[in-house]
Amino acid sequence: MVNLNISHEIYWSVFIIHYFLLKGISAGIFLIIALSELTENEKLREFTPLGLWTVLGSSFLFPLFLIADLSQPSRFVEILIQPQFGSPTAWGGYFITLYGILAVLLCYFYFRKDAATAYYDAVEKGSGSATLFKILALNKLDISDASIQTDKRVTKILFAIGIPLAMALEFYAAIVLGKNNSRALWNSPILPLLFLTSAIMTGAAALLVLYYVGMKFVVRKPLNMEAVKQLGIFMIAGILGEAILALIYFLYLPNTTEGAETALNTIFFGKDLPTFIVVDLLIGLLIPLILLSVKQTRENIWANLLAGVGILIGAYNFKSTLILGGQEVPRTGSTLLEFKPDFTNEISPLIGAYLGLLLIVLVIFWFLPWQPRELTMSKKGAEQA
Amino acid sequence: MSANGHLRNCKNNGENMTKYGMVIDLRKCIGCHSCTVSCKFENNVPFGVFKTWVRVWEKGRWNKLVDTNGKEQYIPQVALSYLPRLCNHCDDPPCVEVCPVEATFKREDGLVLIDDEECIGCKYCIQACPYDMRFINPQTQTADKCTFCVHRLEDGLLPACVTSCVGGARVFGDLDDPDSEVSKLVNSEPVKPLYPEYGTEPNVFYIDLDEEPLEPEAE
Repeated sequence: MVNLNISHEIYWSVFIIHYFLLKGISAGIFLIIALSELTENEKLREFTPLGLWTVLGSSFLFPLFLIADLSQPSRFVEILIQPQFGSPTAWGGYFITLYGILAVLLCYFYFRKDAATAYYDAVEKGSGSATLFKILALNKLDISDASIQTDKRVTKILFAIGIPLAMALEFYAAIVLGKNNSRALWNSPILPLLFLTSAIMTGAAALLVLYYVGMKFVVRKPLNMEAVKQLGIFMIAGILGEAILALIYFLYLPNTTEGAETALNTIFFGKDLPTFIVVDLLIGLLIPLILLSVKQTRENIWANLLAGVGILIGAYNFKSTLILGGQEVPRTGSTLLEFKPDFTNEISPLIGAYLGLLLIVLVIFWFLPWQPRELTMSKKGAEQA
Repeated sequence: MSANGHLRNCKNNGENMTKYGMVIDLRKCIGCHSCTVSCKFENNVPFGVFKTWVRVWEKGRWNKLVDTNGKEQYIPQVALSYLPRLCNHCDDPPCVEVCPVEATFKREDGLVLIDDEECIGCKYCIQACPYDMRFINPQTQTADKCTFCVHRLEDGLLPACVTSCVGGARVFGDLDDPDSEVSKLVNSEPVKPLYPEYGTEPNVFYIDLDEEPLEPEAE
């Protein structure tokens, strides 16, 4: 049979893949630091300041990917002004906004004491940055025990509120895909859980990589390997969860919709099979699992880093295959759609966005003395506290 | 309300409500593509995108013949088939359900339309449409698709593709009116919609639809 049909475009591509990935990393980091704070896990609390900054930075960056993907980016605010709540995208608009507000509030209440301390330090030294710290503390410069305890209580409440919100960010995105019942690869009820485990796994991996870079090149202090091992547990749990859920996805998808088996055989077990085996399974799951499980390697920071980077690469490849592959399978024709990356309008703005994020992180680390709080407390501040 | 707000209200509100639909008799379609061309002209459809088109496929086989001298010959026995495609103006349109800003809406007369002043271009409706009938209009940078030529309907005219169909394969009208030609065809002929399994309840029906080329496959 020979077919002649008009060609269709792949509309959700680079920006959407990076949106899904970065949102997942951000939500995963949030869940890890929120659990560590709520359960008062002292080892994991090592990551809270770094995690909060990352959540704050990413909560501003990943919505930008989504806005950049709109054909009418200047109209993005319409989702909040006149939402149609039958659409999961409208829920997403609110989840993303609330998540950003929550990240700002958390950073404020978590770091207010540090800003106030830094203000007193600056006043003592006669530095001009005192005004900046006063503004950042919103003029609440009280560092008494009672005030710090109030901040801690508020922080805990915000973390507790944030847990369902971070989970909702993952669930809504999976529902956005799953509602397209003619996209066979997306139409699986297991996808929300798969996204959640992937978020925890990639969140732990990204936190580890950022922690290493931060401690090695910015704070210049030895790494806390006990804390790193705790992150390793999150990564192992994420890998096992992801592997089990992915297995269920692949086993049950052929039974869900018309053409799902063809879609699986065409994408995951067809044209993308080599990258699926090498990148997703080996680099993204199996090798990290071995590195994090074997005693000789799990205490080695390089092995941990290798596992973390592998997990991130594997997760990126899985999301890329799922999102692009879901659209490559033809719905009304018989020829696979071809994805052609647009360097001018997609790849270069994406690189620019990541460089912008890096710049913001560098500015935060170099110009604001906000590393983990015990390092920033001046003598005077500590006495007053 | 945008400048296109008037599109949301149909002119024939009242007791004699219509429900627009179309029947395409594939026995009469000769694949001349005049519907595609007239739609392009009528709606100023930009280059590279289509509100309606005709999918063509060739089916058949090589038949083995042995002549009187015992010599084998292979004779092609093939035929071209045509499938005109357009928005199905579904009764349960997934594109309307997923639009986050209600830019896509379904009117009481059955038309599924897009307000290009409200559309944010998230492309969710394009993903949701199982018929691949939506696209981003390169001029407006918003989602676009067949409107059953709503501007012509409001002037009492038929859609451009219907008037230009040389074989008279496209029949358009009120599915709620039992005396309309389109209703009579739906009630008397073995009509089939495309992909009924998605539950969208389309309002475009085909006579003599060959479903084999519609089954999921990838070459």
